[in-house]
Amino acid sequence: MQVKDTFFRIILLIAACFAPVLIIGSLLTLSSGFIPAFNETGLSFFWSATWDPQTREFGGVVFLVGTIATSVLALILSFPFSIAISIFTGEIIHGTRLASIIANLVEIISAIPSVVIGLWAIFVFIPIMQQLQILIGAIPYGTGFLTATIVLAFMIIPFSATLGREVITLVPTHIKEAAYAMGATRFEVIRYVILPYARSGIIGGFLISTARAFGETMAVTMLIGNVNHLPTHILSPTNTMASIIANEFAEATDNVYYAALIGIGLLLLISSIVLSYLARRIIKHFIL
Amino acid sequence: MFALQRNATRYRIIKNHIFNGIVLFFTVLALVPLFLIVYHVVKMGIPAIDWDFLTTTEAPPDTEGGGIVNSIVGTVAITFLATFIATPFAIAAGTYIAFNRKKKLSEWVYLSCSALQSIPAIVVGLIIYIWIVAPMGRFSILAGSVACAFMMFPIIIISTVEVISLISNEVIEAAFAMGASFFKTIMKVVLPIATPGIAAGIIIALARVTGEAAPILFTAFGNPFIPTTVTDPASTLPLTIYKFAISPYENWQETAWGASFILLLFIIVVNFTTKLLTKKR
Amino acid sequence: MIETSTPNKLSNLNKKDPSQKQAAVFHKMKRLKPLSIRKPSIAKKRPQIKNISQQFSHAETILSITDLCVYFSATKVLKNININFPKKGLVAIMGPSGCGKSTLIRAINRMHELDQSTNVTGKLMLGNQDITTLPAMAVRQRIGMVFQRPNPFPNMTIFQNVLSGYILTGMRLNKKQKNEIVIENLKKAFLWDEVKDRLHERGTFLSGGQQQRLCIARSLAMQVDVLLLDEPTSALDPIATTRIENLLQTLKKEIPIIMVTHNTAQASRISDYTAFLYLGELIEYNKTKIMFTVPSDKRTEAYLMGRFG
Ligand SMILES: Nc1ncnc2c1ncn2[C@@H]1O[C@H](COP(=O)(O)OP(=O)(O)OP(=O)(O)O)[C@@H](O)[C@H]1O
Ligand SMILES: [Mg+2]
Repeated sequence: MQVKDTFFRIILLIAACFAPVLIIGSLLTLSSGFIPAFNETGLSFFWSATWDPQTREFGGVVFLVGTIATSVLALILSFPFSIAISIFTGEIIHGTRLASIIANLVEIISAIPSVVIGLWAIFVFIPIMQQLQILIGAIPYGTGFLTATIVLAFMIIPFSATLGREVITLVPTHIKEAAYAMGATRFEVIRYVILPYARSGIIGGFLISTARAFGETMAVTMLIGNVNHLPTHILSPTNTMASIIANEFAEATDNVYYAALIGIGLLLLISSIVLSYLARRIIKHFIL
Repeated sequence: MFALQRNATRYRIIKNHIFNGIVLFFTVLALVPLFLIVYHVVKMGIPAIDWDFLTTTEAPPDTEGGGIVNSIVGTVAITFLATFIATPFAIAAGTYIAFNRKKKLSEWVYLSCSALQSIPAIVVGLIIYIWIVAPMGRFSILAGSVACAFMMFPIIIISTVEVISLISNEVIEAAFAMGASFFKTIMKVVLPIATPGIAAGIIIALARVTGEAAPILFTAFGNPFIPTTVTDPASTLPLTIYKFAISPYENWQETAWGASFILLLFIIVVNFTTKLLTKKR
Repeated sequence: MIETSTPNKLSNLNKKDPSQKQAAVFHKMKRLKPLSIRKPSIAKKRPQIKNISQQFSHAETILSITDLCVYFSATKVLKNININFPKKGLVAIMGPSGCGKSTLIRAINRMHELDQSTNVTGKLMLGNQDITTLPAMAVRQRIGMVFQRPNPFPNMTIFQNVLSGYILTGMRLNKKQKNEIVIENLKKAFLWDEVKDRLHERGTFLSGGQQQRLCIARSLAMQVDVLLLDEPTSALDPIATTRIENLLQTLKKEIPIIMVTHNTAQASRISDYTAFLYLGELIEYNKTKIMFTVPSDKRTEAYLMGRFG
């Protein structure tokens, strides 16, 4: 029995070690896979905006900028929606049936596969964008930076809205009552008591949303236009780290080209992990 | 004493109403795309679906008809194999953390799980390509499954830890007090109690990877025919939707809508049932 | 009912019905009294007055409540309360747990409107004004409320907490006014000396008793017409309790105070009038001195004895 127990404990221990091993293994794999490209490009990989497999120039800046810009703009666009949903379901109609229905609907948004959203956007949303572009006299590509960003904004709403709702409901009743008892309207209670109290949780939610936006691949790939230039205009097509990998990895036969794409993957991996780590730190700080 | 002049309440109440209106407006507006997506998927998807659609493999581009049976087989094979790969390790790891909460290693494992969860799916695909596809020299169901298992692993660990932590300590101590070994206590007491919760976690993880195309892209790669062994490449529903949606061929686009309907239906049903099941307890 | 139920009936009572349970506890309390203590006071002649409200002239009344009923969903928790509160003095509201004390003072401050399933009927006059026709926000600004659990705003400093009524309702003040209000009201709440060096720290770092005085200060800062307190000392230690009692004894000279308390000793120490609620009804309302010596109702007497014994 003793032997069996010890054996069992060792098995559990090994399984547990698997998680850190996977993380470290991933980092090592991608880092070593990136070396051939790094030897070729040197540090220019991190500041050159030229990505041309023909001339074997590999600068990752276009994609880094593309990812950061789409994520940040998507975050800004989603902000009023997430915060409105958090406030509406977490305070204004909290505890009602409607609140839980809306909360469930918002969760469904996050469950829709991104290829389905991409498909819908190609056939329904892009035509709308094209109409608008004709209206303002732009070239009606339909796809492009703004299109991808709007769809991305929609896709990341659930993460911040759900967390925002949770932290808003965590504001103690006796604090809210104190504010109401002073004669404050609901708006004033939300503005001066609830939001300041729940602030760090809400910020954490937005960081999680941003991390999601960073890694979102398929819908963005389908909509952003996939052109390896920095966007000159809010409507122009560009590319992100995730979408360049999705688009070009399968055809990267050249060794350095292949390694450069792995380098982009490494960049994406590190930035996503750091972002969500920060988000978790902030949330933990808030809840504990 | 300072002469107090109270703000006019009417003005403040109006402001409150305006605020409520704005909040309601944005909430409703955020849900509009959701309804539109569901509406269009249903409207465009249902006409594409018939018996042939579900039982034939995909058609060549620019022809008529064609089905998704190869993608369904691929999806089922990959998700099930992924579940079989991920579950034992994840439950074991989760059990370890739940029983060694104070240890430094548990903290590291937990932290790693959070990090694993935040790895973008496309990067998981890259890593598994390097680990499995490149050495094997071919795309395969196996590689696709490992990629999906990679994504399911941290989700199941975290839900296992949570479920086991909810079991009251007295039950576990009672088992130990009766002289049961650690092994017996886990297998006969802890895991049976935790099974429904862990199962819910597995299903949630499964539903999540079922909808992902990104990890499949460079692992199972896609296959217009029904795969016969785990070393064959395979298509999955999301992968087919992606390929067909960006294609210029009308019959493929139609297939993409039909496949979207089936995928969406599956995911919504799974999400709802797990929600109902976990709520009861 | 109290008169007729026998001890062995107690065990049959439905535990879920609060009023029955309350009656049971009440009955038990009464049963435990040694006869020797009970007898002499019964022997005294009971005074006729059960509700002193009518004795306050219109000019002496700050708050007048007529036929107040409160329903939580279908249960009627307060049953036709008629009570007038005087402009001068401190009124203690007493009664067994669950009798509706909190419900009554929350009804005065219109706090029940936050909860949709609660219904309130009846008329409330604040001075000459029928406040049931005003918006709740306007009423709450004029009636201060202090809760059982000290609840300073955790996101505000001590300074901001005193001004929270102004901040919350969007009233603008200049720097001088702010300082004046903060100093004056912290002094009024006997808190100034303890916090004058750390006005810009968070209010939640104070001790429980200090927090409670801070809550009183923020109500006073709004220059309220009447101050409501719901068991303000029940979460505090004896020393903090004494300080609050001293504070209330000073404050009651300036502002009418209505205070819920469980503590009969406290009521007898600081209140001028006492109202006794039982099962949602106002049983007796009189000068504290009279009520504590010659209660006119047997239930009041039993309650007071139970507490004293
Ligand atoms: N929100 C509510 N919904 C339903 N019933 C309630 C609610 N609040 C209070 N009650 C019920 O109303 C009755 C009166 O409650 P209240 O809080 O006024 O009692 P109390 O006299 O303040 O008691 P305590 O001394 O314990 O504070 C109780 O029976 C209680 O169960
Ligand atoms: Mg109470």
